[in-house]
Amino acid sequence: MRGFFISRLVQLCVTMFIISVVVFFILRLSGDPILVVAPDFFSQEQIEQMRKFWGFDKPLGEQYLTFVTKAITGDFGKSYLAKRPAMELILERLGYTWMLAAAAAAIGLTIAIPLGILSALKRNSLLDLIITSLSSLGTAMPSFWLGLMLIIIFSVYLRMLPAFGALEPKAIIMPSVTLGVGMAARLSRMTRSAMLEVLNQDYVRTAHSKGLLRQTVVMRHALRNALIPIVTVFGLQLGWLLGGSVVVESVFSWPGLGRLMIDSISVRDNTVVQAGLLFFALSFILINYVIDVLYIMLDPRIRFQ
Amino acid sequence: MDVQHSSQARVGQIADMPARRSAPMRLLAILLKSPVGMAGSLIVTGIVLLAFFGPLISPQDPQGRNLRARFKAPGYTDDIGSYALGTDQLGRDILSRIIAGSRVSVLVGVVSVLISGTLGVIYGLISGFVGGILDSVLMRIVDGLLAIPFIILVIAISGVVGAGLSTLILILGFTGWTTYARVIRGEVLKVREMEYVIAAYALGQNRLKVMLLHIMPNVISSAIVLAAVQVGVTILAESSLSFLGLGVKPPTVTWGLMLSDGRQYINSAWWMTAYPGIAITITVLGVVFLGDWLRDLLDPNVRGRA
Amino acid sequence: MKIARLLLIASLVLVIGSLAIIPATAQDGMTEFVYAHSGPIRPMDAHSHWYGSTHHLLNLYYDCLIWRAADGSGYVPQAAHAWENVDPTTWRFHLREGATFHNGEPVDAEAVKWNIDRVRHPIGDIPLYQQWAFVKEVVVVDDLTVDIISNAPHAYFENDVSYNGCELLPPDYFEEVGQEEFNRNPVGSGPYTLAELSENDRYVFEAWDDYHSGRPEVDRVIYQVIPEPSAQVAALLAGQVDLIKGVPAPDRATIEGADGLSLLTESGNRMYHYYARVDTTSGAFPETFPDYEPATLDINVRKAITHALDRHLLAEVHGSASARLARVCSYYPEGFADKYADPDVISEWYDPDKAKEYLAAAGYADGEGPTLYLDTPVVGRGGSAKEVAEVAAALLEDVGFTVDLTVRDASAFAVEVQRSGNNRELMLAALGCGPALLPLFYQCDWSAVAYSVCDEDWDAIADAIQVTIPLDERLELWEQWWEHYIDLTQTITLFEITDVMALNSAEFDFTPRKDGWMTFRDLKLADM
Repeated sequence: MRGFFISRLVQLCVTMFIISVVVFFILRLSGDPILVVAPDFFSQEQIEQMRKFWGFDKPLGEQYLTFVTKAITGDFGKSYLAKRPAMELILERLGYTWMLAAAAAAIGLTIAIPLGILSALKRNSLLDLIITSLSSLGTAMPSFWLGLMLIIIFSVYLRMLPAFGALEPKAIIMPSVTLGVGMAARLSRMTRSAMLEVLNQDYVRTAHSKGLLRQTVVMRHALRNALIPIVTVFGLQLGWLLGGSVVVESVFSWPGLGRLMIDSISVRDNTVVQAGLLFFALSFILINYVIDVLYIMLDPRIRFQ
Repeated sequence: MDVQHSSQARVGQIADMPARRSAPMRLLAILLKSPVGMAGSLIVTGIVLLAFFGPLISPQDPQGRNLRARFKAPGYTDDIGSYALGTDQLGRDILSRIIAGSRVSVLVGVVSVLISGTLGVIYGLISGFVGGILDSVLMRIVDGLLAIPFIILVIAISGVVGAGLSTLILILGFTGWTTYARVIRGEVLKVREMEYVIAAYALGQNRLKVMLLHIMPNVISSAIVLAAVQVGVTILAESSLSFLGLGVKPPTVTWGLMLSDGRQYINSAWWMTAYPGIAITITVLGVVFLGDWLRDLLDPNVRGRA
Repeated sequence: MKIARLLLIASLVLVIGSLAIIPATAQDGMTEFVYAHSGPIRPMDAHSHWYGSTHHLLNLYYDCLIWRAADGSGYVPQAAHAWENVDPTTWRFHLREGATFHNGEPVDAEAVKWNIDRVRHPIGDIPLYQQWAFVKEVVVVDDLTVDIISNAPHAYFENDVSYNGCELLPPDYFEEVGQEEFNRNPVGSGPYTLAELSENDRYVFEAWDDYHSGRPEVDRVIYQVIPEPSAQVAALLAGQVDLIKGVPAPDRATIEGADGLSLLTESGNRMYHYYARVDTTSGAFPETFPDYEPATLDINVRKAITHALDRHLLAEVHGSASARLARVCSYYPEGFADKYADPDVISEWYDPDKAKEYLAAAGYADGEGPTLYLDTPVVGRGGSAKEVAEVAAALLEDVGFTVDLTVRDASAFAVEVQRSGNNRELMLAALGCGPALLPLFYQCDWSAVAYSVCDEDWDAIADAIQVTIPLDERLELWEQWWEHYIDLTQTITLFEITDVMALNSAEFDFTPRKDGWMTFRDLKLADM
C-alpha cells in the first residue's frame, strides 16, 4: 500500500515536470513579452536593456532551468506589470476561486446525486425523461451564456442580485449557480448510469429477493457501489469546474484566479499566466490524488487495480 | 478466423452496413426506435443544412447595416425588411447572423474534431500496441496535458498565438487529442490480449498488419462515440473563446462573437444575447443526443464514461 | 456514502468559511464614493509605468509639485505653494513648511530632488524617463526651495512637470523597503491614504486629516475595477457605484430616466485618427512586408480617404454622445480648438465625388481603387473601434477602394501593429492632445513608432515650438505647423472622443475635468 502511494507520488512529479516544460515553452516561444512592457517610443537599445533586466537575453534552455529551480522553491518570478511576485497575486485571488468552486460543487452534488438516483430508479418513466432531458440541456448550455441570462433576469429586470464582483455575500449566488448547473448536469448523467449498472448486478437482485426493503437496498447496497465511479467523475469534473471558473469569473467580474488569468493573458503578463497554469494543473492533480487515496482508505475492498 | 469474426460481430454490424442494400432502412429503423437518436439527428441535420444553404434562406445580408434600425427589438419592421429576432448595434439582422454563424460552428466542430481524433487515435494505438517504456512516457505526457483544464489551455494558447478562424481550429484540434489517446490506448490494451489477435499472430501476420486490420477496427467505435461528444465540447469552446475576445475575429460571424457584442448592451437589448445562446444550446444538445444514441448503439462498454 | 458526505460537508464548510473574506460594506457613517474603473490598474510605484488611467488614481494619493487646473485654465499648487521662472532655463519651486508624507517623512527639497532624479533616469525597467529628458539638473537651494533646470528654454515646462511621474514618493521609506514591498504597502503625500489594496481589483482611499490644504470633503473614495461597461451600468443602477464612464448608447435613456442619476458629457481629450503608412523604410516594415508598396504613400490616395469618410456617421457608431468633429482636441490651452473645429468645414470634408477625383488623380480608374489594409482593435478608448472600422470600410468601398479589415484584441493590436509600425496602410490610433506631446508624434526622430512623414520643414517648426517662450511667436509657429499637418494628411482625423459619464447626482457633485482625468480631489457632496 505504501508502495502504491509512493509510485503515484512519483508519477505526479513526472507529470508536473512535463506540464512545466509544455507551459514554459508555449509561452516563451509565442511572442516577445518585453514588447508589451516597453512603451511605444522605446528605441531598440532601450528594449535590449529591459530585456536584460528581465533575463530574456539568455538562451531558452537556461531560462527554463532558472525558472524550474526557482519554481521548486515557490518563486515563480515577478509579474511584469504588477511588479510583485506572481505567486503572491495568485494566492491573493485563490480564496475567491475556492469559494466559488466549493459553492458550485456543493450545488452540483446536492442536485445531481438525488436526481441521478431517482432517474435510475424510475427508469424510462416520465420523470426519468424530464431529468435526463434537463441534464442534457445543462451540458449543452454554454455556462457564460447562462450567466448572462441570470444577469438579465435577476440584475437587470428584478434588481435582486448584484451583477458583478464579490462585495457582499449574496454576490456569490449567480456565479456559483452558473457553474453548479453545468456540473450537476454532468454528474447526474453519471450517477444515473452508475446506478443502473449496479442495480442490474446479482447481489442487488439477491438483496431484493431476500425481501429487504427497497430503500435499504438502494441506500445501503446500490448507492455505496455506484459512488465509486461517481466520485471519480467528480474529481475529473473539478477540472471542468476550474476551467469554467475562468469564463464565469469573467462574466461576473468575480475577483478570482480565473479573472486574473484572463486579465494577464490579455496584457501578456506571461509570468502570471505561467504560474497560474501550473497552479491549476497542480491543484487538479493533487485533488485527484487525494480522492484516490481517500478511496483506498475508506473502502477496504479496493486495493490496486 | 471464425473466432475473429464472432468477436468483431458488433463492429461488423456497423462496418458492413453500407454494403448491404437494406442497410439504410435498418439504420432508419434503429433510429426510429430511439427518440433521443431521432431528435439528435434531426437537429444536427438541420444545423448542417443551415450551414450549407444558409445564404439561400437568410432573410437579409448578415453583414448588411441599417444604422437607422439599431438596437431594435424582435419583430421590428421597416422599409428595408423585417427583423424577426431584432437587430444589433449596427442594425444588422440577428436571425440572418445566427444562420450565418452556423457555418463557423459546423466548421470548427467538424474540422478540429477530425484533427484531434486522427492524432489521438494514432497516438493511442501506438502507445497501447507498443507498450513498455514508450507507453509509460507517452501516457505521462497525456496525463500532463489532461491535468490542465482544456479550456484554460486553449485560452492560454490562443492568448499568445493570436486569433483567427483557422488558428482557432488548429489550436482546438491540437489540444483536444489527449482524451482520444487515453481512451483508445485503454481499448487497445483490452483487445490486444483477445484470442483472435493472438490467433492472427499465430497465422504469421506481421505487427503492423495486426494493428491496422485487427486492432484498429475494434477500437475505432469508441473513438467515434468520443468524437460525437467532442464536437459539442469544441463548439462550446469556440464560443467561449470568441466571447472572451480570444477566438474568431469579425467580420466573420460566429455565435460567440454575437454574444460578446450582446454582452455590452445587456441592460437594454437582451435579444442580442438571448438568441445566439439558444442557437448554441440547441446545436450542442443535438450533438449530445446523437452522441448518446451512438454510444448505446456502437459501444455499450463506454456507457457513462462521457 | 461516507465520501460523498465528506465531500459535501467539506465544500459547505469551505463556502461558509470563505464568505468571511468578502469585505463588509461601510456602515460607519462615513461618506463613500465608488468609481467604476475599467482596469487594469498598475502598481502604486508611480514612477514605474506610464499608464494614464492608473495615474488618475495615484493623483489622490500623491502630491506633485504643481498640477493642471481642473478647468484647463492653468496650473495649481500642490506640494509647491508658489513657483516662478527665474531665467529661461531655471524654474524655482517653494515648498510648504511642515508638509509631510503619510508616514511623517518631510516633503522637502531633498525629497523632490530624489524623486525627479529617480524618474528621469532609467533605473531597472523604469520607463518614464524619456518624458523627463528636458530636465538637466535639480538643485536644492534650501530645505524648502528647489530649482529645476532644463536643457533649453522649455515652452511647456509646467505641463511636463505636472505629467505622469510627477508624483512624490517618500525617499527614506522607499529606499528602506524597496520597490516590491512599496507596491504592497505604499506611502504617499496626497489628500487620501490607502485603506485597502486588492491588486487590480479594489482600491479604498480614506481622507487624510493632516493634509496641508485641509481634509477632503468626501471621507472615502473607492476605485472598483469593473471591466464590462454593461456590468458598470448594472452596478450604477443597483447603487453599488456612484460614477461610471463610457455609458453604452442604448443605456443612456434608462439612466436619464432613473431617480438621482444624471448623465455628464465631457471631452475625452483624445482624437481618433486613422494613421496612414507614409514611408516604407522605418520600423519593422521593410522586414514584415518586403517589396510592398502601400497605396497610401501617394498623398492623393490619403486625401481620397479623408473625403470618403462621413465623420458624423462614424462618431454615431462609435457611441460618443456627441463626438466633437475637429482636428484638434477641445482641451487645448492656446486657442486653436475653435479654429479647427468649424462644423461646416468638417461636414464638407465628406465628399465622395472629391474622393473619386483624388483617386483619379492618383491614377486609378473609376471604381478600381487600390486595396487598403485597415487595422483596428476590437475596443478603442471609450467605444467600439471595431464598429467604426466596419462602417469606415463600407464608406471607403463606396468610393472605389477595396478594404481588407483586420480586427485584433487590444493587446495583440498593441504588439503586432502599433509598436513595430506594422500597419500596412491604415491603423486606428487614439492620440492624446497635450500641446507638448502632439508635435512629437510627427517628428522625424520618432522613428521607433515610424508612422510619420519625415518632413524637414515641419520638423524644424516642431523643434522651434518647444523652445519659443513668447506666446505670440509660438502661436505663429503653431499656425504653420497646422498648415503642414493638413497639407500632408499624414493622419486621417476622425473625431474627438467624448466621454459620457453617469453620476449618482443625488449624493455627489462632480464636474468632469477638462483634461479627461478621472480623479476626485475636488469631489463634493451634493447639497441636500
